[in-house]
Amino acid sequence: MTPAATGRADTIAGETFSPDFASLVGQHQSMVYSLALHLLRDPSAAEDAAQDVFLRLHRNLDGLKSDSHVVFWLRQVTCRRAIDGLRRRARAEVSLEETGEPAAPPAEGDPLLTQRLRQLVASLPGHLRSAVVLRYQEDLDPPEIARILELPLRTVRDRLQKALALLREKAGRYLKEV
Amino acid sequence: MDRLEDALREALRREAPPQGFAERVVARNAVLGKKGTWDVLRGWLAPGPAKWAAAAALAIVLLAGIQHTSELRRRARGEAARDQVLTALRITAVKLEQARAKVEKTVRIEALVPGEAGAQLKPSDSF
Repeated sequence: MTPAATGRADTIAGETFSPDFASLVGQHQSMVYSLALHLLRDPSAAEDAAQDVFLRLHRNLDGLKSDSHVVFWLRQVTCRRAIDGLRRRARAEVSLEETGEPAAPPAEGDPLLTQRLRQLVASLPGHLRSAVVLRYQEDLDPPEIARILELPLRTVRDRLQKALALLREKAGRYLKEV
Repeated sequence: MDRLEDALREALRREAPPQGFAERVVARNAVLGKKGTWDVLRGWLAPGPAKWAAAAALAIVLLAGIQHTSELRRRARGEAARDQVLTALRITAVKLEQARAKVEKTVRIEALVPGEAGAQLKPSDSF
């Protein structure tokens, strides 16, 4: 099941939605933790943020109507929590300009490529990063990203294009792209 | 779809959280309890059909109270004005009575002591 598909499993119409909290944590921990990790770049801060999100989920369970609503809520709250964390964090981020280009292109599936791209994504400004992470981690379409981030669709599209252009600029030659 | 996007999907794939993450969340949640003071307060403040009805009823009671108070004040002002008019009328009546008494007295004196004033009086002028 793709990440996006997990958000579309609605409950059967007419049934009361009363999920078990521990099951929800088990079911969605990977999504929430990964979103926080890719946005914050710090495993410890990501775990704190993910725990915080699940505690908030428990307090707000009464207002959630279905599995897809839970997934939407978790994505939205995790992004907000991580973006707030990024704003508060005083430590200097490595800028895109400061990151040098790799010396040689790695082989297909090279973990160095993955590491390199993560660094490049992490060096994006927070508002671009959140759009990229939702697009490529969660496999969401721009309209779904717009709903989660509560932004106009055009803004999301612009951000994705800008982020991809920045990433392509740094990684384009590396990936031998046109 | 291009190689960059494929590579991004690979780089940003979901990862499992550290070992024992779910247990830590559940344990922390058990320690904190389901609802804190703020949650209870927020529950009270949160909008709902019953709360809207109560707010509407309260608004109606307040408006009725304000209107009633306004009516009482208006009535009090009216009564005060009426009392002032009555007092003025009473004073006027007293003054008129005093004036009438003075005139009567003057006429009686003129009648007892005929003089210029008395001579000038015609029979039709007498009271």
